[in-house]
Amino acid sequence: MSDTLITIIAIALAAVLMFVFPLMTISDRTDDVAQLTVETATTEFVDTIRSTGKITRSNYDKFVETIGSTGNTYNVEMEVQVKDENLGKKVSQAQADKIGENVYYSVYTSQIEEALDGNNATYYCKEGDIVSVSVKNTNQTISQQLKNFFYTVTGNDSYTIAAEHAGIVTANGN
Amino acid sequence: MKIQGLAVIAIIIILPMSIILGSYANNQIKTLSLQSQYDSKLQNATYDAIKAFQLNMSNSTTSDLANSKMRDIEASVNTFYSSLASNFNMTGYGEEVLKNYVPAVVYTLYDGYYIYSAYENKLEKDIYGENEENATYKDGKNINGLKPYVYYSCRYKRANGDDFVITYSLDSYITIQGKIDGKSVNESGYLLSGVDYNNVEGYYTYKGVRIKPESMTSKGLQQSVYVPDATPSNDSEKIILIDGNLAGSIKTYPCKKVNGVKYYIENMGVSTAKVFSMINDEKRYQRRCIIK
Repeated sequence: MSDTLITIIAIALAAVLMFVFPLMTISDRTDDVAQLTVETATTEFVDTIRSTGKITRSNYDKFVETIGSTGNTYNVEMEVQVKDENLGKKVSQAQADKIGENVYYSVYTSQIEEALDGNNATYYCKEGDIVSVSVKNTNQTISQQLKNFFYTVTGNDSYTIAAEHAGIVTANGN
Repeated sequence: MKIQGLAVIAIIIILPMSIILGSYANNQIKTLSLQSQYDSKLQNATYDAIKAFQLNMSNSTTSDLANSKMRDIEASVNTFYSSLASNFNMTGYGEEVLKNYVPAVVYTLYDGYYIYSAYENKLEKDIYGENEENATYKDGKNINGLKPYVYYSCRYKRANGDDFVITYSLDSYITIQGKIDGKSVNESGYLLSGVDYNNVEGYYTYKGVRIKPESMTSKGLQQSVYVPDATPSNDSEKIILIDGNLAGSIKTYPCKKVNGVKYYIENMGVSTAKVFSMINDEKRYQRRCIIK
């Protein structure tokens, strides 16, 4: 009797050790690869905006396609902090050429996408604007599902693949 | 016990251990990488702030005035926070949020330092004893701002009555102000160690090198200066004529530069010796000057 029990336990353990553990490890590595891909794509996308001074439909589509090729779905958030050159209205004493006294106002994802859907299919930035993009996965990756199944540490809202990059635009787009 | 039993027990013991150790090692790795990320972000932001400060200072003609310097520093602090915010990819109110995590930003300058930190705002009541309604900040509100300049100075009080303040700087330049041996002192200069004075022969040695005394009348310490309405007293000095009339002459005097002003000594070595400086082509005599 006890022999049968031990054999069953041994088989169960063997299944976990030989099947689930490698699967977890491999799915973890897959997430790492996806993370790397998304990070590289985000950096490249932001740097293109910074050096050309504009966000174009084709660039944005290419970026979304690249991160989509990892097999996950993502939420892309963009923000452009537009440098306001007419300072006089907001502060009493300021010069436009003094670094650090600039005032910024922000334009977010939906407004940028509106411009991308417009006639020009382009959002134009100018020198000195700050552009930032952050990406998070919205689906559950296999590694997340397995972890949820075994030790339920990650909730449904949490993400494992995330990348962000920001920088100052160095060219006037036109 | 059969060999399967031993194997099962061994696995049951080893598996949890390896899981726990693995997660512990993972945590350590994550902490380290997060630490280095934060370090590099903070370093980048500090670099940006210093760069902005340098550029603002060198592009401003009034950067040596306290008011303008404070403005430059505030601009630099702004740069620091906006750089930090964009490094952390904070959106919207990122800067204001980050200010809660930065206790103080210190700018150590040549002779003192500024601290940018949070403080409690004090708002005095107006003459009718009422609160000012239109004030930007209310009484007791916590705001971030630049505190007054603090010099690297220290007051020394001794039992023998000496009472003086030494103001230090980032190099060996110091200023001493106060009372020493009953005399008022206000001196500044570079503090050098390794200077010895030979009492018998009356010369200084600095780091083993003997410094010979220099005579004010020696050629090397003389300077030529244009003096209006003066006539040359020897061949080496030149007369300046305009339309044939005497305008003045270029004369040579023993000279010393003190705080950016050149002082010339007239009639050196005679009891009527006087010290003057030239301001707008005019001789300005110094009162009560002792010439050694």
